Order: sequence, then structure tokens, then C-alpha cells
Amino acid sequence: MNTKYLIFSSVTYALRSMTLLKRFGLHSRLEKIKSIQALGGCGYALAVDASILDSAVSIITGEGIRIVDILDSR
Amino acid sequence: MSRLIYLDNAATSWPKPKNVINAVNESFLRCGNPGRSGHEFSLYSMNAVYSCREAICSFFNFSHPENVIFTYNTTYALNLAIKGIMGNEGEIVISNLEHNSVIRPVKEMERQNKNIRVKVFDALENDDIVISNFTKVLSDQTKMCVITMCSNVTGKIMPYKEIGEICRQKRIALIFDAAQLAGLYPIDLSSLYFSAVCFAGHKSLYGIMGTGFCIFDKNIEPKSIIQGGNGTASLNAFQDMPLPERLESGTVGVPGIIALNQGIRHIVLYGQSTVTEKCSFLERRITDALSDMKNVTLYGKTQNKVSTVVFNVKGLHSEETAMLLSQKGICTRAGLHCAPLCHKALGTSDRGAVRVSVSHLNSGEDVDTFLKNVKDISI
Repeated sequence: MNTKYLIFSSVTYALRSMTLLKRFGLHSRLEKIKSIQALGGCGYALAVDASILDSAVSIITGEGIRIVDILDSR
Repeated sequence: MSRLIYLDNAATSWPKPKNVINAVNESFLRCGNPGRSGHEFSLYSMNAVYSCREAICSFFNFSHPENVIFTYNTTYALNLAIKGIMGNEGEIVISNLEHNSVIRPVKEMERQNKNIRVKVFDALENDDIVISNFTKVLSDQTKMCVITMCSNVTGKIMPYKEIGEICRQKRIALIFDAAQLAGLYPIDLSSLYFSAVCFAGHKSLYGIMGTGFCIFDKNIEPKSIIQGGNGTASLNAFQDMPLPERLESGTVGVPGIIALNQGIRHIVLYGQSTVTEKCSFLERRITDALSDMKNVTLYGKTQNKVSTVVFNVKGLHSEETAMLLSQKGICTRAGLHCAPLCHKALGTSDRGAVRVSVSHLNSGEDVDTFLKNVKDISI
């Protein structure tokens, strides 16, 4: 499985995004990450399968939630 | 002693619903520190905290869970909102029904800053006069109003929607104290003008003590008044991150937040309208019966109120009356209820008054036993 990691400014936005994706039937999970980008944010990422990345980004940003970064690995 | 009759729900609700107690007990077995770690216990807590933000949004018809800030009580929430929004100059308008959790922060700000002035209007009258009094006290310098939605002494519901519309038109920041109304009466934030609304978790929302929260309007950017660790942007020495983390410094009270979520669930399952009707019914029964007792004085009688009645017995200090009731297993609250301006207006500053506050979990039998005992005391 090819996983992408969405970085948010706070864990609350990550959880709100996860809830949002679930409503659209898209699976995601919250993970603690080690990438340096996380240190400027909440230290967590929303992990999604690469196949749903575009849909996930569209749904999340469509709700006005800012995605700080998208990483290929944790 | 006869069975305990608890009529002090405006201080904190009792009993707590079983689902609340069970959830708190379970939290001690499953919760880690939320927003800090990646293990199961931490993730469980994070989800529990976020789930409560969503439950609060659903209950109060609000659509921004990130603008729900958890605190330790309403006092902390009010301080957060008042000091986070106010700035360094202008007038703050409050009513004479406010609790010391409003009076003391604004008076302290006035004492420390010569450019801040506090103005008080009389809100004990009927709604038309209250609106008139409120409008008259506003000026071009008014920057903020802090208003209770419901008096913790008399139970009067303020015309808060009308006050909101006036503040909307005049573009004045408006903070509501919803400690006494939330859970007793439906509050729809989607149609209400506000900058922030402050809540207690442990009163009529049936959570546990040590739990409160504040909801900020989505267009408000409050400053933090307490800084510290929150698991976010740890390299940054300044706490400038988005809400809610900007205002939630240190570990939040997860067991209390879980309890609050269950407390809200209890009201939803019971039905808000059923809760409101039951409390109003019991309040009217108390008001009507006490009105007929010749040695009892009732204060702040009004049609638009829920759950709370305040009175004195002729010849007795309020603490004496409450003590006599307590000896019969009846829990009430005497004194000034941390609302000195209200008692001054009622003429009860010298001996306070006895407050009776019901919940939907009280029975008609509870009320009848209370009334019989007041009658015995007052003869």
C-alpha cells in the first residue's frame, strides 16, 4: 500500500479531517510522525492511501481546512 | 435522617447520570495524554476529546469544533474570553445580574488599566426595560458586553437574543455566560450573535466538576492568556497556533471531557424539551406554593425563567433557613451566590437569600417535601 501523510497545523484539524473523510466513506488513520515538518505542526499526520489522496485533499480543503504539507513517508 | 433531597443544581447537578459515572470510571482504565503520543492510550484520549467537541457543536448547533475550547470551569472560560478579546482600552458593559466570575475579571482590568471602564445596567426588570437600560448604557466607547444568559440567583432568562442583535448592529464584542442556562433550555448558536459563549460542564450539562468550555465565533481571534505546552509546534516559543490549541495550555481534563460528552448524551436521549418542561413545571410549583406562605418573601419573580427560585423566611437569616432545611436532608444554597450586585438590587445584601434549583431528575415528591419543611419553618 502506497501511503501519503497529510500534515495539519493542529491535531484537532487532523481529527476533524478524519471525521470528514469517514463521512465520505474514505478511510484514514492518525499517526505520530518523525518528519521535521511535523515539529512545526502537531506532530501527527493523517495517513491515507495514495489512491484516494486527490479526493481526500479536495474534501478537506473544500471545508476550509488548511493542509500544511503532504509527505511520502513518516 | 430522611432521604436526601438535592435542590442545589445551580451550584452543580446531582445525581450524575449513570452513563456519566461509568464513562469517568472507564476513562481511568483507557486514557493517556491527548495530543502528545502515538500509542493507543493517547490516541484514545484524542478521539474522546475531539468527539466531545463535535457533541458540543451538535448540541448547540455550531459548526466549528476547533473553536470549542475546554477549560476547568466557567470562570476560567470567562477570563479566557474577556481577556483574550478585550484589548487595552474601551468600555465593558455588564448587567447587575452577573456573577463574580464576570465582575471580578472586568473590575481587575479596570483597576490595572486607566483606559478601561466598566459600566453596569439594571437587568432585574421586565425585558423591555432591560433592553432600554442596556441600550442607554452603551456609548461609542463600548467595546465589549459581558452578559449572563440566565441569572444564577433569580433564574431570570435575559433577553439575550435581542441584546445580541443590538451588539451585532453596533459591532460590539459580546460574551455570554451560559453557565446557568445550558442544558436547561435550548440554545441555538447558529442564529445568535456572539463573540464567545462560556459554559459549565458540571451544572445542567451533567458533567463533573472541574469541567467547562468556551465557544468562540469563527471570526474571533482571541489571544492566549495562559501559555505552556500543548504538544503542538514545540519549536515555537510563542503560542500563536490556531484554535483550540492556542488556548488550551497544558493537559486538558480528559475524564471530565468524557463525562461532559456523556452528560450531553443524557440530555439528548432524555430530550431537551422534556428537561425544560419538567424543570419549569417544578419551578412553578415551588413559586406558587411559596407565594402563598405569609412569612415567606420571594424575590425576582418573572415569567421567563427556569428551575431556580430564591426566597427568605421572615425573621431568619438565609443561612439559618438553609441549615434548618439541611437538617431535614434538603440541600439548598444560602448567601449571596457570588452575585453581589443582584442581591444589592434585590435588597438582600444583609442576609442573602435561599436559592432552590431543581433538575429534571427531581420529583414532585421532592418538591412537596421541601415545601412542607419551609412551611413548618415559617410558621
